[in-house]
Amino acid sequence: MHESMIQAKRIGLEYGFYLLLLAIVAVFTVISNSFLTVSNFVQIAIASTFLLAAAAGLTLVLVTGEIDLSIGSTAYVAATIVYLTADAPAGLSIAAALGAGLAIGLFNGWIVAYLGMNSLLATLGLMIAYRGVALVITEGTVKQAGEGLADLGQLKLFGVIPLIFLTALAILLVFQWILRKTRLGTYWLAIGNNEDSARKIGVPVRRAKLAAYALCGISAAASGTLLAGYLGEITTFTGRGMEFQAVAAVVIGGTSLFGGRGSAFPGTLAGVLLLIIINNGLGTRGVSPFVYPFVAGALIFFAIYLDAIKNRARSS
Amino acid sequence: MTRLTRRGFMATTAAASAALGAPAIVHAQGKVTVGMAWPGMQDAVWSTSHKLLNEFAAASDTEIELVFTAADMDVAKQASDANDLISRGVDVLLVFPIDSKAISSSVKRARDAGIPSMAFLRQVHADARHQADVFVGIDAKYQQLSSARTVFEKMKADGAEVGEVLWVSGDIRDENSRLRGVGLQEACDEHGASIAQDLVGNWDPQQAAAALAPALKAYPDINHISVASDVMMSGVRQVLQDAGRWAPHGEPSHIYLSSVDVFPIGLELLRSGHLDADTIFDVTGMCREAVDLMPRLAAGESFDSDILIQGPVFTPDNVDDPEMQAQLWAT
Repeated sequence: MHESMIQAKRIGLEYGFYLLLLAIVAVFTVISNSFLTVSNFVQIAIASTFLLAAAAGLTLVLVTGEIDLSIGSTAYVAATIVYLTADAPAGLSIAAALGAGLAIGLFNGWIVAYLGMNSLLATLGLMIAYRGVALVITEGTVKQAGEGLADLGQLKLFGVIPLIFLTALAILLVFQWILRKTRLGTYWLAIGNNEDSARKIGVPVRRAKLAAYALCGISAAASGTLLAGYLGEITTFTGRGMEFQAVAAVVIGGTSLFGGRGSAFPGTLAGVLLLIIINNGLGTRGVSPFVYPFVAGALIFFAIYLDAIKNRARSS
Repeated sequence: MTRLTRRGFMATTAAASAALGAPAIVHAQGKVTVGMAWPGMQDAVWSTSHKLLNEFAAASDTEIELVFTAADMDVAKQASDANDLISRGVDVLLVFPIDSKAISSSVKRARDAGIPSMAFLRQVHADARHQADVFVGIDAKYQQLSSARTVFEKMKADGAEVGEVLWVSGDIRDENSRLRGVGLQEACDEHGASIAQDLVGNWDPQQAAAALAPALKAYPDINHISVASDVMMSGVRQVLQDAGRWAPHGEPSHIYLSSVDVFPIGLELLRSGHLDADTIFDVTGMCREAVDLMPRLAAGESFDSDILIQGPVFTPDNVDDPEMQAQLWAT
């Protein structure tokens, strides 16, 4: 009996969140006629795209026990590169934006892994600095993306599934593959569990962290590029507040803030979907806009509380 | 403080600032020196208003010198900038507050020094103890009222049903957004319409799209969307495109759109017939009015009410009129 209760508690902690997601989908399906429709799920997919792309890379950084608060600003810088290359072919524009993200990611990784700076404070400062760079370039005004990229942003597979969502999903799946199936992923998990121990067994800690930040920079840049393609323009709001939403989604999805545990798929995907579905579902019911921040905040609180319980259980 | 004591204060503060290294203002006969405490230069409105104020000041009949400071969105630095300008003995303090409450202490210091102050675009908070001598800003309520009213009139002329409106608002903490909502409500009251749902876009097209998409499902028969700013219009366009409701005026699936600001996307959509009315964010008019007031404020004139600029409404019919084109600043 006692063992079965422990087992039930363990299952609840590990999978309760997915049950919650299913329950929320079921509730909205019952109370709103327009929720469970193909066109609404397409809208949910589109709304998820930008957060999904950014949160995918952040998952890797959080698994190592570090954090990157500059992802929203990185997305804005990448979108700014899209503006600067608006006259170039779309492929070149995308490559330049992702290249900027890679450069930012490498720099972030270098100062955290090689200079030993606190990742929270360092990336908080860089978040402001990167946004400043983008604001200088755009002069704080709305800029246009190239037509080629804007056309790509409208493409839909079979006329239904948005290409931008598939792109974000592909990034997430590739990152999950790296996390679970490669030596690099094992290094990240080992570092997140215990950095000193990982170093003693020969894990190249600094290089592994650098790689996580580099991929995080690329995924943040992908988010900004996808948004620029979708809207056809770059606004000063690009990526604003994205870092906090992404941290919330990743933690809700089961990745530990303390590192060493987590997944991009299904964890982060489910975390992003939960936040977006709540927003969407409340919207289809015409609920007051003041309700969403309360519901999302409560959810984030419980996710972090559960994370603390899991870590306590693991420590003991 | 009387004019005489103010001069005494000026002499003292000018001597003090000279001793501290900050150059004191030399008061030439008939010249008005205005100290500008600006939030920064990162935003188009901030930089454009700085440029226009300088242009209008240069063209003014009165000689006006503008002494500019920018606080880079740092509330403490803005207070320090304002103090510095007061110490340097400007004739008028022109503040574009970062924080509408925090700026009150700078206004008080200016008043204690006998320097009149003018708040620009963002009003000193109504609850603050010390108010600026005059406020020059945009009539945010009128902006949404005039834009939505124009659309309601157009709908009635078209024989379209006037019923519910979806409201894509700005930031729920932003006074301008709140006032624009009040303006929309007034327009609705005038025409027997109602706001079906307040969708918070936070001035962000992505968030506006995320909020509007499910609302369109909840209100499939909606035929009027009012948007708090053109800055969110790209998100609205995407959602309507995805929903198959993106069509210019005259086509059956057209949704009437009213908005505010007349940014480049607004102009483009007015010309294509997708946007039906757009009230300008009249920075030019605001700067012209502020420069006109500077010599009067320096001469000790008092003002009983705020100066709120009401810009014209752009429609597909007048968008390319030369006199309307002359009002544009964001293109």
